Amino acid sequence: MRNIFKTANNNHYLYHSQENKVVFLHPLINFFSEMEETGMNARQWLDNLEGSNVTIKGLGVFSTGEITYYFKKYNLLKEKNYFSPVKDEQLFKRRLTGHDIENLVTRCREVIFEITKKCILDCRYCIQGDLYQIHEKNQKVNIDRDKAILFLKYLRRYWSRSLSPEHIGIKFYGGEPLMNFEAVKEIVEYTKTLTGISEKFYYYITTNGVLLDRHLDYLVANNFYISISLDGDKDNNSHRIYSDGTSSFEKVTANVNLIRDNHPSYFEENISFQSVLHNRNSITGIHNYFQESYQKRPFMTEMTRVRVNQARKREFDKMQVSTYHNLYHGEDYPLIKEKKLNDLPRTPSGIITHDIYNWLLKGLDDPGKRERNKTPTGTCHPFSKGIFLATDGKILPCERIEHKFSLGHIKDEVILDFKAIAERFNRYYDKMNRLCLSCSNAKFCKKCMFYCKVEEPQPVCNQYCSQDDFLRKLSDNIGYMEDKPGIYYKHVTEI
Amino acid sequence: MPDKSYWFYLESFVYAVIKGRDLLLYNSLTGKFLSYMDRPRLVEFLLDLDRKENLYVLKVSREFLRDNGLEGFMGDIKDYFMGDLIDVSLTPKKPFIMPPHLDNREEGGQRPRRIIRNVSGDSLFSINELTFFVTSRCEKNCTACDSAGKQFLWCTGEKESSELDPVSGPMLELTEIKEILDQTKGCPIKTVNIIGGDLTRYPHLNRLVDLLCPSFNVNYYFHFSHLKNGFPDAVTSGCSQSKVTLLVDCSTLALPCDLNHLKHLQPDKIVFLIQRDEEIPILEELIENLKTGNIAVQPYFNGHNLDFFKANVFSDQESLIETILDIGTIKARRSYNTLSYGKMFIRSDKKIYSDLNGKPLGRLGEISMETAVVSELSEHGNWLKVRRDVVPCKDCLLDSICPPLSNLETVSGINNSCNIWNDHRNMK
Repeated sequence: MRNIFKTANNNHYLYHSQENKVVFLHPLINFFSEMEETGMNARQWLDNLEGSNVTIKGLGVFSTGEITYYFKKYNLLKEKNYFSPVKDEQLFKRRLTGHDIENLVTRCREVIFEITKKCILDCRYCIQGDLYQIHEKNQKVNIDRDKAILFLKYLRRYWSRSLSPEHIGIKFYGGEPLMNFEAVKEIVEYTKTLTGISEKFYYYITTNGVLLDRHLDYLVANNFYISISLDGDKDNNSHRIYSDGTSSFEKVTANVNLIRDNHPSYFEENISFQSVLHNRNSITGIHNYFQESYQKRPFMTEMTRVRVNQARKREFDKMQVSTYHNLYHGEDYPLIKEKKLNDLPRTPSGIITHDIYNWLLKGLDDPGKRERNKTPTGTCHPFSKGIFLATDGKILPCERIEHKFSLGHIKDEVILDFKAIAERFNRYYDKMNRLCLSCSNAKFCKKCMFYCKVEEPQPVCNQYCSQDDFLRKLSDNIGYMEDKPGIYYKHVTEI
Repeated sequence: MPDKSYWFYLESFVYAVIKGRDLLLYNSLTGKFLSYMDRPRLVEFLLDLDRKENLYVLKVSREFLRDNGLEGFMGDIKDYFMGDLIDVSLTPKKPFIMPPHLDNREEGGQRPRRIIRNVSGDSLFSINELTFFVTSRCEKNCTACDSAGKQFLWCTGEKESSELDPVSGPMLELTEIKEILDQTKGCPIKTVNIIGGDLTRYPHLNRLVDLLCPSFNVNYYFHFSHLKNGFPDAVTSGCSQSKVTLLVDCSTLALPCDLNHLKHLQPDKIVFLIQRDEEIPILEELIENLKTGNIAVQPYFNGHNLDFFKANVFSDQESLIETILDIGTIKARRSYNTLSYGKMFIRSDKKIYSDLNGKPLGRLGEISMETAVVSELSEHGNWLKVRRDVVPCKDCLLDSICPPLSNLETVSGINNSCNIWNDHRNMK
């Protein structure tokens, strides 16, 4: 299969997947490659040339000396497997062991507690609302505090090991965690009693900001890092409402201003914002609001596109906006493209600029670091990012995965069977690998397999990329770089 | 008639080095290089080519090339498949080339992000090899003792230290080794080396073998003079991941008696230490008679045999060309010492080293391995010693192409253990 692509500017390039190289091709080299692809013998063609100049249709007139030179160069690249890279048999062969899982738990940097399912707001796009079909909706609403403490006691034995991280984040998540603040306090106070490791802990809370004024003293005193959900100005924020339909904007911004005015350095260091992109805001609108109001840059996310309630699909479609669409079709595209391309949130698989450059640079950086022997998909290894305890006592690798994929639970004791977890992941990897091995985007994959119907006999990956699609994306990206080489330079030198 | 325009570009697999008025281009596909000495106009052209708005591609005309004396250079580049001069009418839009060295254009000691990150984050995961000098006890009095061990893996009685006693000198306890292994659990450790002193006298050898097998690839190093009764059973039976390496000093061999003994021992590997020309025939005889493939020859610098090294060991241009380096390897060699990076040594006196010629990073029980790694990367920097930081290599165009700095160079005080400096002025 040809691994050559052409940009909109009519330049040809060759992508060498094993070495992660993109090589510009002289049109004659592409000509030879095309010729051999169709079964013709290029050597024979060359031997039969007559005259000192040859006209090649679509390319022009070349001297036989030129043609011979480029044939040699074509053969050199061919000899080095640039046209038919050796299949990398080792790619995606790695599988996990119980020992790996134990190490991952030991090195886990973040424990996330789902403090409550309750929320004071009724945001229109909330994953717990009617727009989504969530199986866990009728769970126990508050976390069982005894189980939370039991979980910390269990983890303590791993945190005492020398491999454990220097800093551990204790993160509170909801619903709205400030609605069960007694549990937050109890967990924080317990961590302070863990002699020898208590200094490792940092506290994080994700909140809608409505109740911040009530608990601010405690949060500030314990140096909490607070992430406040706010979608921009009042109009931008109009999907974030109370159950009676009234706006939360005034109350939230009043609380934000309270922190800014009374604790300026704390505000500077510990307060961040996250915004959901939807039909009532835009990347530039959000960016400008936070820059002007608080001199902060928010973290932007899209509305979740999985488990959408099909009965409300029309409403969802109206509300949902992709970053890609907003970014590349917005009025401010030229400005964003020039100034902030590297600061924008990760785009969906429609564009692979960041990932491919990172991969290419990684390949350049250190041969020993090339991750040939990796597990399939972009799924994080369990607990490599964090460990999540839900209100129903289930233990998951993160808060974004359906509870049917829980890896353990707490009843009277913590049940985490490392070997069983490894075997389960390996089963899923084997299933996914059938797709990954033929996916041209697999090396750059960020897709979590838990969003690929991995429990079913035939998983489905909506980011699967054929060779043609992949080359088309490369063509888009390299074509863009032909127009703006400065962007590439900025990426590799500044990011 | 207007002069035709061309895109001149260097291929993304070509590595370019500029030092003052000199220039070197290396083709990572073919391993061939071009060098140009004292060519300021050419250097200026290459610097222009490397500017961010050009990115390895420049529009030129024949007139420009002629006026600047660059036509010969263009011919060389094409002959060596390092780049091209392509008629703009064929590809009206400027091609995009990913220059291979852009992400590392810094000079003056800045390291790639991965290494910086290691200092602040997963530092422990830098470790890829552990060497335990489990005992210092040895009753022999070899001339190479101490100094050979600072050049390559060789047993040492650590007699330099006055506190050590050849009979009752310090040893590593099994619990201490286990503690290190526990601390480094999960690290990508490919090899564990076990060496003495006299390893046959190490009382915990049996239990050590049990501890390490089958989790690691283990190399046990024995000196030939310690093996009158053969290898200890523990290391030759059972574990397929264990290998036994025999250390043999050619200057002390008594042939043919020792040859028979060598044949009888059947180690997995033999390392012959050699230090003078007269030993070469002995070595040749040994190699011929032993008929085993796994033999390594280790030249030993004894302080007086520089000529032997110059004649037999120093790199030359031909040996450089023999190995084709990819861009990744070149960049790695610019950034850190690919020979020593990730290696940790724990000596029987409990001291931890990242380089046996350097200062200890700390002592077992007083610092963790993670602290040791952070200390190495942030303070000691033994793993980061590269040619571009040392005299005279930093002035040489081949500083990133040459093999990494070795212990031999540290011990001898001669960083350029090569004949290349003179060679490459004449090469093309």
